[in-house]
Amino acid sequence: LAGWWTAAGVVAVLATPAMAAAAAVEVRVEQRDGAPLADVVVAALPLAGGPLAPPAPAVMDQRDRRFVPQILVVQRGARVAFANSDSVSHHVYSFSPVQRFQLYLPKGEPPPEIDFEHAGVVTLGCNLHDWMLGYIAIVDTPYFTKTDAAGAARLRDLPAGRYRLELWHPRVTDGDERLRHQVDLGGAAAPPWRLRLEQPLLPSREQEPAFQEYGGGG
Amino acid sequence: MSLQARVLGLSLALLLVVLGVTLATVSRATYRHTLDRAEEELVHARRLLIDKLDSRQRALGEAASALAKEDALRQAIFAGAGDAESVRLALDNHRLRTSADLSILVDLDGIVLADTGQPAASGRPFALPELLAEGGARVLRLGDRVFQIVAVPYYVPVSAPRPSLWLLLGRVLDDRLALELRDLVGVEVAIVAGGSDGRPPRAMAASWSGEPRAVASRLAMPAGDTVEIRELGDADYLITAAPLAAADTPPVTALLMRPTAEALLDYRELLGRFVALAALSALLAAGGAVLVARGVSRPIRGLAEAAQRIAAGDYAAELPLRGAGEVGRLAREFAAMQQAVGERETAIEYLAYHDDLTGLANRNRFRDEIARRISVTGGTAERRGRLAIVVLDLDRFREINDTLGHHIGDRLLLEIAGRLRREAAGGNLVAARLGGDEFGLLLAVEGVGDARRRIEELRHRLGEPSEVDDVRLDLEASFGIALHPDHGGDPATLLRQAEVAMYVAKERRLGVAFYDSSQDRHSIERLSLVGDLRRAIESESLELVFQPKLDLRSGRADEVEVLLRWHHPRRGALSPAEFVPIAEQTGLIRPLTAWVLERATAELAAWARGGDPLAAAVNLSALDLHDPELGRRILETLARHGVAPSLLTLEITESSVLEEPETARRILDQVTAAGVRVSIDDFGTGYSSLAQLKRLPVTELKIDRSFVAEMGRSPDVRQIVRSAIELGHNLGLEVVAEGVESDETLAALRDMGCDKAQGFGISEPLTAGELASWIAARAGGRAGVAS
Repeated sequence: LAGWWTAAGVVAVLATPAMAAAAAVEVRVEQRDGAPLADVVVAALPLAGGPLAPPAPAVMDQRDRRFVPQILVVQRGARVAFANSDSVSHHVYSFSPVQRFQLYLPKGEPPPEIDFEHAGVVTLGCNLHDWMLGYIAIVDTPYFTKTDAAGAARLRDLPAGRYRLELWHPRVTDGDERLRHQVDLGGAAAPPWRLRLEQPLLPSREQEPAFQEYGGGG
Repeated sequence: MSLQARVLGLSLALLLVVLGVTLATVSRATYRHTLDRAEEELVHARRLLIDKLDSRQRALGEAASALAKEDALRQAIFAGAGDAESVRLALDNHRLRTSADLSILVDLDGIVLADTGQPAASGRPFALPELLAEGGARVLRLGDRVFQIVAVPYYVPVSAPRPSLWLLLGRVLDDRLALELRDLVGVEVAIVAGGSDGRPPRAMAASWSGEPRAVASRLAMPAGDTVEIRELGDADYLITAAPLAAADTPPVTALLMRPTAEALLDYRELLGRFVALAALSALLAAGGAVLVARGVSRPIRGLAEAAQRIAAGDYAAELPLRGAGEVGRLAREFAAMQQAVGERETAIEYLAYHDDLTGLANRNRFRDEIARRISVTGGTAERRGRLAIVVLDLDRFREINDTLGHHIGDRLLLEIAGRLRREAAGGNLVAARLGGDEFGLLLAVEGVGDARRRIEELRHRLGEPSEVDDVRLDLEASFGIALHPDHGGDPATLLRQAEVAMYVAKERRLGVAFYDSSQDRHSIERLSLVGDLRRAIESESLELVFQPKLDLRSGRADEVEVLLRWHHPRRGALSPAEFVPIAEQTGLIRPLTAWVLERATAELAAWARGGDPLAAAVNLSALDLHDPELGRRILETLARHGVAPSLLTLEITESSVLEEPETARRILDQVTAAGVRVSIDDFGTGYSSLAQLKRLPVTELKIDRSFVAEMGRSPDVRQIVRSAIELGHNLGLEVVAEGVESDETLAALRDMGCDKAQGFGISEPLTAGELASWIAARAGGRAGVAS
């Protein structure tokens, strides 16, 4: 039963080097047909050990019966507040082995907070709204970002050193090996890592909750 | 076989054939059609069954999808992850809300998380990983039951792009379902597992119980979509199979079966109705045929019986005239025919038994009457006396007919007939006309004397002169009588005997003659000679012989008399005296004379060509002189052979000229004008009319041999001969003496001044060859006879 979770999670996060001259790396992800793929989690894990910066807190909001952002990336150990900006209650759950929890979020209440102590991906659902789907990617590095609409992501101000770049996206099915890439960032700008996926994306199964807003919009 | 039976049999047979053929055709077509329809129904049932199972499968899939969205189940599964039994119980709990009989959870690695049917299966790999796919569905045998199973992916959350688990729901295919399916599709349904995978088939569910269930298990599955007829237990079934399992799983088949008898129920009912209808129509047709046959055959039988009666001579037979149509018409025609036949028979009978002219009985009737009388008298003279069969023939009827015409002749016959009828009216006498001028009389007499007396009386009464068209005629007749039983026993013999007697009476001018058996022989010979003579003329077995006439002054024989000789095959040589009268009586004389003239003229021509022309004398019969064409024919014959007419002499008798004096005169004038000579033969024997003699163009007299032969013995006769010679010479005629047999006679004749002589004393008749020799010899020693 547990294997399924590990299959879903792809990223291991390592600490960034302490001494560092600033460096940058650029990643560009394309789908099999060459179209850019947005919202791909990009994390750079330093291969040399050493202390990392403390994780910053984050907020997973719920707005218009969606998780916002849909994919939230946090450093391991970060505290995430589950806000509810909707006028309805939500009941968020995670059955991911990385961290299981259920949070009842009545409207207007202060958001509860959860610390995520393990790296991995937590998939979020809502018991009240089946179509709601969100992810929290917990990475063991402070250097992470997501690709933009052009499928590009840029990490800057990284200390020089060797890194393993790891990518994750819920609909990507290419194997882990293809989604990892080692780079040596020695002060100068490293050449960009350009990945073209070999496997097709999983189809999106998210549905518009049309019935939810009968007679109204938004 | 009667007509009725035939009509009945034929129409029934035809009807049965038609019905049989129709029945066979209809039966076969209907059977095929019914069976086809039953098969179609079965195929339709199969389709329906498959549709039903498909919709069940869809419903199962939808139930599974709904179940996968159940918050509580999700909680139970994921919140309590790790506690397999709790998961299983939660799953089973949720399953109960659906119609499913089975529910299984399998993770993405193919490991069973929970199986509501099999608690022990948790943690083990799922047995059918191929089922784990979007829309996966199978029909499977699990243990002792067959399930319809569908698998759906279990997404957590519901919109997640990839499933977290596989959720399977199954419904058992059991007897209840089989019954439900039977109610739906209308045929028996069984679910059979195995059978084509090497494992023995087993009926896992069936819509019925008992024997067929066991049998269905033993059944080999029909292939594909075919419908087959199989014997199960003691009944035939139409069966078809619907494979339910996928190719990658052990076979499970839905078997649809229908008893053939039930499928053919309509057919049998239809067939039964048809047979009943056929039987009814056969019955009706038979009845109709009987009526028709009876309507036809009964009158026909009546007609047949009537025809038998008619054949037996009963023309009064009553006919079944009733009825319309052909048979009635036939009966009426038949009646008309019956009447016509009756009338005609009467007419024919009259014609057959009556003489046309006189209305008297004819020869046939006369003969029948003789027979009838003979049978009545019983053939014994002692008891009943005798029967006289009389044939009478008018004398000189032929002359009357020829001179006065047939009209008068017929009147005469009618007169005779009238007199005979009056005699017959007196009783005990039957009169008949036997033909020509011959009549028959039949009367009962006591004996010869009585017969003679009565016939003489009759002859006397009949002999009274008659006036016909102002011509007074003597009706003289010759009567011939044969007596029964004295002369013969049968009518034909008696009639012939009477005719023979009649000839005798006529020839001998006896008036009445009784039959005498000695005459009979003569008459038979005569009759047979007639036929022989006719053949002789045709086959030329007659021969001409020539008797020289000696010229007493010159001593030369330059003329011959042509005589006929007949070499009869049985009787040898016959003289003209023996057969010429027969020829005269039978009308053969004309062809005979023609033949003689032809041959004689040919000889004359031959002699003339030989340089030593002879003259020839040919005898003519009195009857020849009745033929107005004779003169022309003689001259034509002479001309054809190129013979001078003066070389031919025709010898005739005085009486022969007297019979038809005018015709004879014309003939003789005609030929003598051309140069032909005419001689009076047998001079002295008939009634000589010197006036007649003087008028005729005669050149010669032949003194009859009877005088010449008697000359030597009788001075009176010698005187007659001398007178005759002188008479001839005085009339300017040459005189010839016949029958000279001695030299003395010859010398005496020469002394008397007779011109020519002929006879055995000079020469017998000679053949053509002998004549030539005789003449040659005579020329050598002429003095012999002449001196």
